[in-house]
Amino acid sequence: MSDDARRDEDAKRDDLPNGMAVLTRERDYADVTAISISVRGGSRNEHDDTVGAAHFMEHMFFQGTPSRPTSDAVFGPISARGGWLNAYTSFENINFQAVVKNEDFGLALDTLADMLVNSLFAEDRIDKERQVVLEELIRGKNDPRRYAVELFFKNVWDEHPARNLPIGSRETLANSDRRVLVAFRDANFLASNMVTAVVGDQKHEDVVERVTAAFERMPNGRKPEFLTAPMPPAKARRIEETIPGTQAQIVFGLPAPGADHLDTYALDIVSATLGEVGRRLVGEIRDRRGLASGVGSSYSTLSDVGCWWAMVGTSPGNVDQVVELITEQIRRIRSEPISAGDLEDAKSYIEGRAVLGLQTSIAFAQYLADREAIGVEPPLDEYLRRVASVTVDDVERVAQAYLDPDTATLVLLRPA
Amino acid sequence: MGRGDRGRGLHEEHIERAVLPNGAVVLSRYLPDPDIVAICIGSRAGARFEDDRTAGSAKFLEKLYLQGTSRRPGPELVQRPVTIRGGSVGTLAGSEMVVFQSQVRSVDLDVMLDVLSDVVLESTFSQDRIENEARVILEELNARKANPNVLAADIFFPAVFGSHPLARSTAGDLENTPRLTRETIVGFRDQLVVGANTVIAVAGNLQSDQAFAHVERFFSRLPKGEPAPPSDVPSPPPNPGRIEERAGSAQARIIMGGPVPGLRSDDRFPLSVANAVLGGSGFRLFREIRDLRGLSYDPSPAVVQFPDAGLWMAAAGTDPANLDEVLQIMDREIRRLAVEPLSDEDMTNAKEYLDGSLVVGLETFAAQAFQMIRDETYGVRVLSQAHREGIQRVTTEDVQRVAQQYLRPEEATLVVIRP
Repeated sequence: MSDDARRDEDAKRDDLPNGMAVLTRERDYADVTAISISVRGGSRNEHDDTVGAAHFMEHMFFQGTPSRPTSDAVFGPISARGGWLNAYTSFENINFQAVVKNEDFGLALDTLADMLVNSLFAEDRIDKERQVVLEELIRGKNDPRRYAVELFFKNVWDEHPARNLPIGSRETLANSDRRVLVAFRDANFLASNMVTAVVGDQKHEDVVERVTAAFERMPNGRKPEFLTAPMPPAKARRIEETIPGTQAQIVFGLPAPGADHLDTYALDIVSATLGEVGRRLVGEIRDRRGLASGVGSSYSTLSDVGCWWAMVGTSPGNVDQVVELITEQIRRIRSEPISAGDLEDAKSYIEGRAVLGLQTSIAFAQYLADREAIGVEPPLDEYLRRVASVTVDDVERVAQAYLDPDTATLVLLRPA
Repeated sequence: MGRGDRGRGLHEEHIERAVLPNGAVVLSRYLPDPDIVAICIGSRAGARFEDDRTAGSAKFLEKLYLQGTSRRPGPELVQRPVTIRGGSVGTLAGSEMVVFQSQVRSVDLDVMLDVLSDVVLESTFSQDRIENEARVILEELNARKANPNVLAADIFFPAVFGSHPLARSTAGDLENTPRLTRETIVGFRDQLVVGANTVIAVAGNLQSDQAFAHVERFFSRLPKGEPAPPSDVPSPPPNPGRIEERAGSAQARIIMGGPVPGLRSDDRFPLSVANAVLGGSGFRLFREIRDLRGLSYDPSPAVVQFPDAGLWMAAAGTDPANLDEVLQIMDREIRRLAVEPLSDEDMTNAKEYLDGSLVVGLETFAAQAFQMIRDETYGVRVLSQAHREGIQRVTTEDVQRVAQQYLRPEEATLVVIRP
């Protein structure tokens, strides 16, 4: 981790004796408090034949502890106060979170700590919960957009471990028995491998004291190794499948560097120019031709790898035209320098979005916890400084380096 | 009352109200932190005000208001001044209202007001944009059919509402959307998006006197017009029956439900308690369907209400093989509300849940501004002491009575989407 990433100007920080980092942002005006606990380790750290076990395991933390023996007893008290409790498993981390009225902070923290320290992982609950996870899996497959993006992610990264998606498959879930789930837990759920972030009307010292007490019995050990992998080469691929319905889905994209790379900041500008601010894709595809109701596009990053992708749902007859229009816009950003005005607009957008996008207590807590747990991205102000220093030449250079449309991965789902 | 002492509570006494000469109601809620201002504008121009001739017009308003004004003639120009500052401008067609939403950092307030007023007052609705947006709306309708969750709801709502105006789709109309002329759409707009029909809410770091002055300066040119007819058509009778459709590739989707009265009826209080017991605080559907049996990832109940009518529903996605079992459990758990009185604990939990989830759900100024226009437009105030008291007064008998009267699986409309 670079020295820069340690400054944390946007949050107060303490490292507990057991190695857990605690980050807080005091908001004396807030009505609610959010807790976000991020554990490093996710689907990219799983074995190919049991991928999905991390996510399945995450479900088991909601299935009972000695003092909260059922999931009702886990969820109920927080929910009955109008708050909520949830978790997600991603490529590189697992995040547990709660949002409650300020006065219920203790209840939420104690519940989360009990889940993380004492969950039973009872055999019969594991078999039942596997059924729920399978329902979650087929629910995702039922949504054609989601399915198209999943296919893209599975392919664009070639052999890089990021190709393992958190949800897994029927086969890998069947392979994931209690032993597999517990092995993942024991390897990763260590205080030194966790970050707790709290945002709300809470005093930092008070939070540190309560987190220390709540996680006193959290297992500890040496922070596990987190293996990185080289960025995969871009390869031209075309993945076609048929789906029900009358609409085709297109995902078009390429591998790109991860958050640990200095080209990240220029790629954020490229992405904003093609997408939200410059509207180059939506301008051609939707505004000018009405070929789709919108164009989703994003530069998504893990720590050591990322990808840029665009996604469009359209009538089957428009598919070739839409793919051509996306290709054209990528060629344009590679060959024609963006104007100084476009560059300034993209920078100003990214800065403003940082404030507005991190408005809710949970958005900010999650941002802090995940950033710290994964440990690659610098604090917000440093991130914004780096975005501000991107030049017109940087944009052209990264577009040429990473976005060659002749090496793109194309996912195409057409109605049968 | 704790937090309210610091001026933060979500009560009506923290909302200031003014009326512009053109009839538009302006609401303001001033809070200095965070340094953000949100504005929400609602006009009673939703899909329920359409007829067979104008069907699909509300959806067109949602689209066309962002497609060009005299000063900013193209869609790429309209939102740009706000977008490049990280803010947002959006429009939304609902059943009651067409809504304009925007939020920015306080320093960008003037930009937001300039863009929003330009959008509301100066949008050109040009012929070529209408043709383009018709294609876009048809693409969206196609996408809705491909997603089983959306398709199920798109079939369920009109099946329950029948000939009630709330049966009109807010998503557009497959037949009528391509037929609508500029004259019809502009006529719909000019009749309904008028001062007498509009509420403007400002929430965030802008003091109320300034909020009123700014809104008056930017929106006084909105013509006064006439109010839309009152929303007072009673709920239809139940429409029992089963509708089957195919979509998706892997999972079946079911929705069951039926009519309930609208928000103006005090039955809304026991209905929210009943819904909380099935979902948010009592987890009855979640426990029986997901937690004990693993039959579904997302069993969820809902009560959806408008001023004059509404509906209850229970939905779940499941493996097609489990369909009947999920339906049986839904049926049993909903009937149970009618026959078995709730425990004191159920009641306390549900009431606390309804109170707390309001605070948690209204964390952002954007959410607060939306709730403010909704309360004012519907004439039913959720942000009020009366609402809190209404919830607190609910008895177990009240819940049992509304369950017997409305939550009747034997008379439910059932939609089943199979892969």
